[in-house]
Amino acid sequence: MSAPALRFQAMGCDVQVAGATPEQARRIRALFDRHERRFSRFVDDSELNAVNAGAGRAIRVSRAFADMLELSLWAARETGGLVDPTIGAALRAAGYDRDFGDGLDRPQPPAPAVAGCWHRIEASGQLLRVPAGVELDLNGVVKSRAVDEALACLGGEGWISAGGDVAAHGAIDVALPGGDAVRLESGGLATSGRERRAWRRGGRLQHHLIDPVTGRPAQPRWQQVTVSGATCLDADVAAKAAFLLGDEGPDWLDERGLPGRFLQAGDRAVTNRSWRRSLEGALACT
Amino acid sequence: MEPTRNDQPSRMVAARRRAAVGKGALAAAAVAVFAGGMLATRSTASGHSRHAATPLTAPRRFANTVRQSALQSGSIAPPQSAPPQASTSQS
Repeated sequence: MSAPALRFQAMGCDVQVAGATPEQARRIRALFDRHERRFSRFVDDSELNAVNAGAGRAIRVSRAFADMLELSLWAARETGGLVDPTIGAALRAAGYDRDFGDGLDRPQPPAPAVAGCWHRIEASGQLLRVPAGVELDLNGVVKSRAVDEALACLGGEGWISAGGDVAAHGAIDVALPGGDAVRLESGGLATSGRERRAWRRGGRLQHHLIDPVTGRPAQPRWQQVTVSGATCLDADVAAKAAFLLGDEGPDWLDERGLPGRFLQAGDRAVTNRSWRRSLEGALACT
Repeated sequence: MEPTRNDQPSRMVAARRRAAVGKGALAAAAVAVFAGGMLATRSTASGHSRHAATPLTAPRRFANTVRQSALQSGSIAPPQSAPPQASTSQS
């Protein structure tokens, strides 16, 4: 399959597209730009910021926003609240209060923690009420969903990659963290980890994977977690949940039949039963 | 002119017949109103059963939708080419 023909920056990450016609490439870029303008915390007039500013009262949101919020609440339900869309204030408290490229290290300690509370969101169609003091952050769901939507724009074989999320039409080999590779035959692959989006506040390491119970960056058991899902959204949601679950991550994925690969310190990789079964099953079929 | 004694029985019979017809019509109307009201009540009051009781099972379509919406696996295999075309690095 072809090498990437289009590269650009969107949603704070590098986006690569292979196998797209010029018209498809234009549509994919417009799709990412549209999502960033609507859902970014760092675009002043984004709809997300308008919703957060309206917390505490019922407001009407766009159909696109309502759909993305519905997916985010689905992710929260599927993970028992681990992937929580209400961690915007917790991210800001930890110091993630501006675009990553602007530098987040500060000598001041982090602000008081803010726990997640996704179950307190009230939504019906395009009518939404976010509890007062709560800030939404849908970024993870938006990015993986954008990859899935972009893949649907491709007519034939090709692939999309955005900040660790990969989806393809047709099989491709994908490099894994720590120096290995896997063939993605269908669906998506996503990796969650704390290394890339990490910074220091008051000398203490902070990162963007928030434990919604404590409202603080999770105490990491793994460096990075990679999951294969039917879609990039499935893979990304499962990878975040497995990262946050620590030792229980591999079994949690196995219970759902999701292949997962866990990278420990020193680049030592551990795979769960579903991952090993997928690779052994593929070998047996050849 | 005063009615004759011979006219009176036939007028009484006719009057009684009209009264009987009127009473019958009123009774029929009352029965129809009662029956209509009862049917309307049964068909609109939420507490009234309109159908035979059925076991509480989720419709097939609903069950399929719920199953499809759960997190699902993709398909992976050992790599076949070097170097890999794409990379998954942490987000």
